[in-house]
Amino acid sequence: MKKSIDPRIQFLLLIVQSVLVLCAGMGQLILLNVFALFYLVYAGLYQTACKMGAVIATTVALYGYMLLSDQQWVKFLGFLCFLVLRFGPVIIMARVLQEVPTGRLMAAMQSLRLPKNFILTLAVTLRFFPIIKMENDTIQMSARLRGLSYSQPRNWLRPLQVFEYTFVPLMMRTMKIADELTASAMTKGIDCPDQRTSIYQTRLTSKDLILVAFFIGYMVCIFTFNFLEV
Amino acid sequence: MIETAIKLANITFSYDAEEPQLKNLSLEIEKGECVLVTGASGCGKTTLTRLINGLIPHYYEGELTGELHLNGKNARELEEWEYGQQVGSVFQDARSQFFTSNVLDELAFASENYGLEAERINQRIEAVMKQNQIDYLKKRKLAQLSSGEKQKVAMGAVEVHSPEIFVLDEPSANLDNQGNAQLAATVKQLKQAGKTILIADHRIHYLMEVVDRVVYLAKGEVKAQWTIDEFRQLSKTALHSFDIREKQEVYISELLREENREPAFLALQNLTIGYHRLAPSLIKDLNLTLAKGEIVLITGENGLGKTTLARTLCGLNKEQAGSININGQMQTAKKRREKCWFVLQDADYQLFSDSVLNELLLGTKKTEENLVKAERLLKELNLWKLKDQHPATLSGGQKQRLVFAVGLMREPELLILDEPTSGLDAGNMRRVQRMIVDYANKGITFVIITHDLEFAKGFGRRTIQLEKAVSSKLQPSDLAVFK
Repeated sequence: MKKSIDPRIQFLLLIVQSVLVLCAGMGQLILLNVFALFYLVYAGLYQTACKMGAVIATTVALYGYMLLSDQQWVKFLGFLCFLVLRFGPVIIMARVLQEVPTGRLMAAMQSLRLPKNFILTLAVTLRFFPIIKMENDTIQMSARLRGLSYSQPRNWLRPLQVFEYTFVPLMMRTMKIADELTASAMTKGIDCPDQRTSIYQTRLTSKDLILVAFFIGYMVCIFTFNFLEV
Repeated sequence: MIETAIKLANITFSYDAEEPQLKNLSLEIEKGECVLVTGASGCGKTTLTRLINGLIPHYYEGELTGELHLNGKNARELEEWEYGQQVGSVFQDARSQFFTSNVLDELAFASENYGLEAERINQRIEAVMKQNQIDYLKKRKLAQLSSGEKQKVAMGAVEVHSPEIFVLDEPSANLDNQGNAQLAATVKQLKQAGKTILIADHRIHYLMEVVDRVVYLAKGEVKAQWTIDEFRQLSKTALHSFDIREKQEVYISELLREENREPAFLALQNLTIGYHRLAPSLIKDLNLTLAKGEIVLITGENGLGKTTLARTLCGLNKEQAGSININGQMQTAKKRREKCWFVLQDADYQLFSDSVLNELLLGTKKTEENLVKAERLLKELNLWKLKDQHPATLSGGQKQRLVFAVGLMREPELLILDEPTSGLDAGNMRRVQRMIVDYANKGITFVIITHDLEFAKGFGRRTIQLEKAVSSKLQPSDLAVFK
């Protein structure tokens, strides 16, 4: 069973992490990535942790090679490394947020007294990403059959047109699903003005507090002492 | 005294002031009654369900006159959220009726919205899961469930909140016979618990033991009503004239047969397939030959690799082992993509262009010859008068014919259809059947994936059932079963 981190804590860490990523130097960025990986392991997403770990290790290695080499084209790759390392920690932590059951997320948001409309929008948005991905996969499949996919070289000359062809059905499907989802939610009392209850406890546990304490300690450490001077 | 649960009096409704969807409709359903509403596509079944669960007039707007009473209460006095306390709804498409991402949350969702105490909700969930035998799904994610399991969870989610009235809109569209039987069992339980149930559906065989009354709608009016006993007496010709589907379940054993027609046009030799090249194999060592112009139906439970087989045949997936030969020549995936065409269950995925005519011409050279061909195909499939419309404005059946036409435009040798009849009424189902037989006679080979056995029976052709097994091999006996 996966360990569950309170969604409020997750949001807090995600926001702080996003800010730190913007003002961190390269050495600190690498350490932020390391934290994000441990965070994945803590949340029980071992497979994702392995994959992301490999990606980040490669990027760091590439970055190191780039610093030593003085060929110009390698310098260009530096920009890519820079992007991966900057966005990595945020994407990883957002990935953990996706694992939170919808009901738990809504309960946690509610305890922060956020407006109901905001909570619903957030819950639906998070739930919609996987749907859009699935829909897009199916559309790309039929686009390939029709010779309209990017995997066919002759389409590289007209990228906009191909994008339009595959985007229209995606829009159509998304609109249809959104419409049906709303209808379904309405028949289940989503508009009920009473206070919403939840089967999830919204009390913060000591584990959550330890996680926050560890996070703060770690951040203070890496920003005070520059461990990796690169 | 018998109480009325649902009472509709002189209801007329139209979405956009054009032809009304429901015309002067009056219907009374008693408490504890189970009513099946059936009729051709566009007869107003779905509109009727939406009226009862309050989506009309609160979500889908339009012109509504007449009176609706739910459990003796005039619906006009109900707030939009109050409907849900009395009426629980189950919809056709499982993907879009779940608001949450896992089973437990979904079961609790409605009750949480209405502010029930957490402890009470948990008790109800336990009880419902036990009753419907879905305990084992408790910790699963909704995305990982099969269609049958999703439908069970959808029913369970409504039951947890325990409304008095249940409205089901085409719940069987994506289910196989086994799923249907489970659904019927759940409905039976609800009926025993004294709930009122209204089911709108095309497929009716699975409900014959459960419903009390059958209401036949046509063009928004109640054209006929039978008690279940009267309905059982109805002759096949009578049903046919109403375009109602079979009353009797069609068993797979009636359909299975083996025939090998020579010469082989398509031959699969020791074919092994999976989601991708390195994934675990779903079907192993499959040997199968098809003659030119043959129609083969493939059926079997979900998750056995029917769709993967179709994807591999038409070249979207590479085979893991074995070979696929057409006319004795081995075909690579790329070549197969040119020779085969795949019609998906949902036509929306396959329409890319801005008009019906352009859809056919998309990806072909704009020559006079192609234009003439497109015109001929559109005329053959009865779409010519719609040639300037946007594909999104077509009805479901028209979209399906359009995707079919797009395939024919490429002069395929093999056409694969995935669940072509989900949600089709009897009339449209027979139309699809005729269309397929017509083109098969012109020399196109068809592979059709379906769990609609009534549809399969209509062809009287070779039917193959996939079964769960490590290796699959055609038995030489009269049963074409993969063991």
